[in-house]
Amino acid sequence: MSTLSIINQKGGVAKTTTAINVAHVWAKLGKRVLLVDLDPQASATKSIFGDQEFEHTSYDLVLNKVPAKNAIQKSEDFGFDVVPGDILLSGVDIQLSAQFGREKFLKKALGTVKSKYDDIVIDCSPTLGLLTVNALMASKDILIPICPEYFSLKGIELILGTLKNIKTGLGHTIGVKGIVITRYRNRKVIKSVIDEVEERYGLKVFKDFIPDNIVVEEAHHNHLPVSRYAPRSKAAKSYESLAKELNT
Amino acid sequence: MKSNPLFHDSSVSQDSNVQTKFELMGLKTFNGDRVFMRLNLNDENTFYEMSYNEDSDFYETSVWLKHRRELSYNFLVKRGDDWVSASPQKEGHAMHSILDHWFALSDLEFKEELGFIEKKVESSKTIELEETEAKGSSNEEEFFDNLIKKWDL
Repeated sequence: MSTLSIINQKGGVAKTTTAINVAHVWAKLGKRVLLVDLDPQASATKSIFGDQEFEHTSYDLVLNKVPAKNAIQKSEDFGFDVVPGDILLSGVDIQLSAQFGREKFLKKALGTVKSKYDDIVIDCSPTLGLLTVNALMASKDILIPICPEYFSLKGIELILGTLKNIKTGLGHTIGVKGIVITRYRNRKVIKSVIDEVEERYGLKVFKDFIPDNIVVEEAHHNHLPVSRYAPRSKAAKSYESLAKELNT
Repeated sequence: MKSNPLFHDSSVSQDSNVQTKFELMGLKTFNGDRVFMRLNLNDENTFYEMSYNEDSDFYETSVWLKHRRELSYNFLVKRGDDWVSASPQKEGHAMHSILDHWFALSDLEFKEELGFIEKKVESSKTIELEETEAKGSSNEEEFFDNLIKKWDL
C-alpha cells in the first residue's frame, strides 16, 4: 500500500486534474484506490460529485470526529473511493495547532482503512500549513505537477525545503516520484524547464506531458475522468501513460 | 536562530530527549580518513566519529539531546593523528535530524579552527566508532539503553 500526495504550493497547475485522473487509471488497472480531497476548495470533490453535499468529509477525518470509513464515498464513474473535501478544512490549522501529535492526525485516521486499498492519493491544498504537513506525514511519496509557462524554480525549492523540514523536524522521509509537466503548449519552453530541473535538482521529469487541452476542462464539467470523456485525446493518453509509469 | 514552528514535533516535549541524526553529504575522503562531528553545547565540545552510509552516500552519527536545544557543530577530517580539514561551524536545534553538505574552510580559517581545537582538546570528549557501535550487546540491552537515554533516567 502506498500513499502519494500531489503537491505544489502554486495554484492552477492541474494538481486536482492529475490526482483524479491518475487515481482513475490505477482503478482501471484493477487497483483499489482511495482519493483524499484535502483542499478546502474541494475541487476534486466537485469534479467527481458536482454540487452534492456530504455529511462527513476530510474535515471530520482529520479532526477524528468520525471513523474514516464513515467519511468514504464511492464514485462509480471514476472507479475509486473518495473522502470528500470541505471548506471547513480552512479552519483546521487553528483547531489542530495546540494539539499533541497535530502532524499525524491524518496518518492515524487513514491507518484504520489503509489495508482496504492498494493506493491512496491525496489532493493537497496549495497553502503550506498543518493540513499539508498532515498530508506529507501520511505519504510515502509526492508528485509535483508544474506548468511550464508559469514555471519557477523557486516553487520547487520551496517544496524540497518543506520535505527537508519534515525530515529534520518531524523525522519522516518522503520520496519524490518526480515532476509532471501540465498544461503545456510550447515545446521549446518545456525543454529549457526540463534541463533546468534535472540539472539543478536531479529530479525525474516524466516524459508524459499533459497538454493544455479543452477536453480536460470539459471532463471536469461532465464529472468524468478524461480517459472516459475523451479516450482518444492526447490528455487521456498522457494520463494513462503517466499513471502506468508511476505504478512501476 | 529562527526555525518554522510548523515543523516542531509536537509529540516530543522540550523536556524529552530526541535522537538527533547528523547527516553529512558531499564529502570525499581518502582510505583511512576518519570523519568527526564536533558538537558544542554550552561551550562543551564533544567529538563524535561518523560512520559512512554506503547506500545513501553520506556520513552519519546520532546523539541523544534535549528536544529543541540550541547547539553548534561542525565536521572535521582526521588522517592518522592529524586534522586535515574542517567545515565552518553552524548553529541549529536538536531535532530528528540535521542535514548538511560538506564545505571546507579556507587554509587560514582551518588554521584558526585547528588552534581552537588544540586549546579545547584536553577538556573535550571524543566518542569513537567502537564505542557507538554496541557490538555484542543484546537487543534487549540496547532497547533499555535507548529508553534510559531518551527519558534521561
